[in-house]
Amino acid sequence: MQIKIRQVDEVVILDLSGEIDINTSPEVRKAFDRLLKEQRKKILLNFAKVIYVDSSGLATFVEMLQRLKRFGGSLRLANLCERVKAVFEITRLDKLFSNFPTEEEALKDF
Amino acid sequence: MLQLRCRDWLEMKFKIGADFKEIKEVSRKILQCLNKRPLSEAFYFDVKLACEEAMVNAIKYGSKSGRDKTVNINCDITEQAVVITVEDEGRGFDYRNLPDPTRDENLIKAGGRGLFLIRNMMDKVEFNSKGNKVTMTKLFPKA
Repeated sequence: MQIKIRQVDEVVILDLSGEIDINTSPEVRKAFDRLLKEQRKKILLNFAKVIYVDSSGLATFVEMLQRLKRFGGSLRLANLCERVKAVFEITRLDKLFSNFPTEEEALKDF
Repeated sequence: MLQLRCRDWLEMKFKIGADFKEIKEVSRKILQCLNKRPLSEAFYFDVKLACEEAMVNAIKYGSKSGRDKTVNINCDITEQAVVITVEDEGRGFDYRNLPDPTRDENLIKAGGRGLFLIRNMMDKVEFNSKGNKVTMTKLFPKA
C-alpha cells in the first residue's frame, strides 16, 4: 500500500494505492493524524489505485470521518472500483460517505 | 503448508501464528489454486475478503491470550465449490448475538463488520457450537 499526498487549493488529496487492510490501515491513520495536526479540514481520498478494502480499512475510514466532522472538516471519496464500492454498499457505509465517480466531481463538492 | 491433490479435488492445510502479516500468504496461495478456473474478479475478491476476515478474527479474538497460539486453515476446492475452514485455539464467541452493523445507530461505529462481510461474500457460513471454528463455502458459478 502506498499513500501520496498532494493539494488542490484548500483540499488535501490522499492518493491511496494497493490494499487497505489490517496491516496497512495504520499507515492511512498515521497520514490522517498528521493532516489533523496541521489543521487540514478538507480531505479527499482518491481510491483510483485501491484494489481491496477489508473491515479494518472501513473502520479506519469511519474513524477518519468522525474525527474530521468533530473538527468541522469534511471528507470525500472518489474513484472507487466496482468491488470496493460494493463493500461500502453492502455495509451501508455508502450512506455515511460522499462518493464520487471522479476526483473533479469530488473537488467541486467541497 | 500441506497440499494434497487428487484429479478434480484439492485440499490445502495451513497453520499460522498470531501475526496478521501471515494471513496474506495463505489467501494468496488459495487464490493461486483458484486461478486455474475461469472465475470473475468479483469471485476472487469475495473469497479473499472472507478468508482474510476470518483469519483476522481468529487471531484478534482466538489468539489474544498468547503469541504461541495458532490458527488452522483448511481449504477444499472441489468441482462445485471452495470450502474454507478457519479454527483458532480460543474459547470461541457467541456468533448468534452480534449487532447488525448496517443499522443506522451502528453505522458510525468503527468495528463490527468482519463477520457481516464474510456472510455476504460467501454462500454458506457455519460455526461449530463453541464458536471457534468457521466453515465458509462459495459455490462456483454454473457453466
